[in-house]
Amino acid sequence: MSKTVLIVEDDGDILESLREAFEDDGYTVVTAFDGQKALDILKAGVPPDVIVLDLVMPRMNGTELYAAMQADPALARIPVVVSTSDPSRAPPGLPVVPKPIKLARLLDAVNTIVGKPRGSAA
Amino acid sequence: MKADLLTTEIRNEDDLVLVRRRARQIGELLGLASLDQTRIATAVSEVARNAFQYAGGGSVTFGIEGDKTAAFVIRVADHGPGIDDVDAVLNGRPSKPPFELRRGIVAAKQLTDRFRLESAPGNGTTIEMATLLPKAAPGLTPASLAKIAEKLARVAPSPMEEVRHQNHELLQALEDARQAAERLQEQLDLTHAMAASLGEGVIAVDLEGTITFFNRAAEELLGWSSKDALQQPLRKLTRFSEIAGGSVACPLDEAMRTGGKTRSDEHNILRRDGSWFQAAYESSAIRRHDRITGAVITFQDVSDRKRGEKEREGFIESLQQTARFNEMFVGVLGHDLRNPLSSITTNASLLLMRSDSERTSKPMTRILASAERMARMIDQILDFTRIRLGTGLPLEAKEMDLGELIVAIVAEFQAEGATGQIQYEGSGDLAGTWDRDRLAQVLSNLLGNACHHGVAGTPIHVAADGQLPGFVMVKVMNCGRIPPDLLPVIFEPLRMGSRDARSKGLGLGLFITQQIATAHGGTIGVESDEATGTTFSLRLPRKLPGADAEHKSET
Repeated sequence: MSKTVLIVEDDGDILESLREAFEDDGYTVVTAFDGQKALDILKAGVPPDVIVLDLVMPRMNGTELYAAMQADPALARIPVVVSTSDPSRAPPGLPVVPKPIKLARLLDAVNTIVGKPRGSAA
Repeated sequence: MKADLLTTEIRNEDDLVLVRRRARQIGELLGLASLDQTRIATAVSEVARNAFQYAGGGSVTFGIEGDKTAAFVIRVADHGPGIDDVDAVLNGRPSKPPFELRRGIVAAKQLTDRFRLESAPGNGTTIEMATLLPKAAPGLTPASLAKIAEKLARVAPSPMEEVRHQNHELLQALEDARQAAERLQEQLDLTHAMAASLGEGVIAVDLEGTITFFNRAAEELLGWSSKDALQQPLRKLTRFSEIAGGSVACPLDEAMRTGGKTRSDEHNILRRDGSWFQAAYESSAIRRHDRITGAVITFQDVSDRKRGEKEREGFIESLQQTARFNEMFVGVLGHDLRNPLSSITTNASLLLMRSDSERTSKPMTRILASAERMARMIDQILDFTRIRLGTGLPLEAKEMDLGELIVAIVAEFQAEGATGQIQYEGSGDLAGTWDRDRLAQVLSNLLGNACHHGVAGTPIHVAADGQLPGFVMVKVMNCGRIPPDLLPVIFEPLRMGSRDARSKGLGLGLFITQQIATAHGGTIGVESDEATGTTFSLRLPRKLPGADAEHKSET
């Protein structure tokens, strides 16, 4: 069974390229274009194996989403990789891949977290 | 207690002098102060003169009356024609002649504490005057009174003595008046001098609004000389108006009308030349004996102050606008530019990963390289903006090993196919408390410069020396040469000289590098000549300026 990644990103072009890249790498990809939508997805269904989280977004930003997840025991343990144009805003302790995203670096970071060799079926 | 001490007759002019002398003598024996002696003596002298002139003489009886508040009482009685307008006389409004007689009575009444007049036409007149004795006066007993009476009988005054005394009193009074006038004049001179030298304009007017005082500052502010202004109606010289232009009542008139103060710093005052100036003023009524006799205004020109305030407000507003614009600018760079750039790199990377031919992978690689260079430029502009805004470069210092960082950066350069060989040599303890990302930025900049501006095929040397306890030295050397005219300005931002064909940057890299070194409390320098090439030397204290903990050297 393949690993699932939730990509939270408000820029549609980036979101689509990340979706394709992760799908190419064997992931099942779920996407959300803001923090609120992501929280709805997280509360509604089976939690993903990992989340790629943008920070600056409308409605609920990434920092707020992360705080909401930490307040919910069912969501608090889902690993998060932050992908942001402003690394100084990232919640402390989380791995950060700064924008502009180096795709290989992001895939490596996510693969390391879910324990999957790159290119292998997830 | 009531006791008569002495009775004396009034028969001629000399007796009038003696009555006066006796009044003073007895007053003194009863403990009256000198001034009170003169007052009662003058009063009895007036009344006795009336008895002599209009009734052909009379008698004067001196005595005392009362216990706790004892009084020196003098009774003058005559058998003359009497007075038939007693009330009018006592009220100070005699209705008939002889007026001199009646004025004498009024004067006597004003000089004494108690005054009683009994008179009827044809039945003569009796006037009783009293002056209260001071509380501190020696207690009066029948024995002490007897002593006084005995003394009065023994020491009869002579008229000459009283004349001399009166003469002396007159001279003294003249001298007192002269001194008082002198003091008043001094006070007046001082007041005028103060008002004249005040920085504020001062104008005084009388009840009619005629100018009675006009100081030097008022001359300067209004353009009228005091010679022209004095004795002129103020309304002929100037007017007062609201800032908006509506005229207002003269504040001096207001002060006289209300008896209070008026003040403002929101009004204009008219100058002689027809121009107006914005003034702060305060106007108040002048009073004498509870009656308003005029008004005074002090005022100053505040247009400079107001203009200064306006300019300052405008300046602050424009600064705030600049700050808002800068914030927006940083936001645009940080987020809005990086996001599309991120889209370019991720999509290019995706294509590169999917590509299986050089035909497509090579252009993709070039796109990625350009996007990365653009990302670096955005970083530099952001840093430059932060430095220029004065917010400085925030540092996140942690304990780290500089040697490890250099090895990682060198490896990155070589992986990316840097031209020429990079040799690294570290010595001593290279641990310190620094911002890892910022130092990586510095090393990338120095190595990048060395690669781009070096001589192709020659090696680049990197040396780190941690043998001294307080700091480490990093040197980056290559064989290139910096033009001598560029050397002194090499760390300045946006140098045009740096924008040659080979340099694809903004000319901010070395400026930011120097700022990072400075933020760490360190320095960076450069040497360059034909023989030895170029060496950048970075000197880094092992801890940030102001950090408390001493770095523990492991060597």
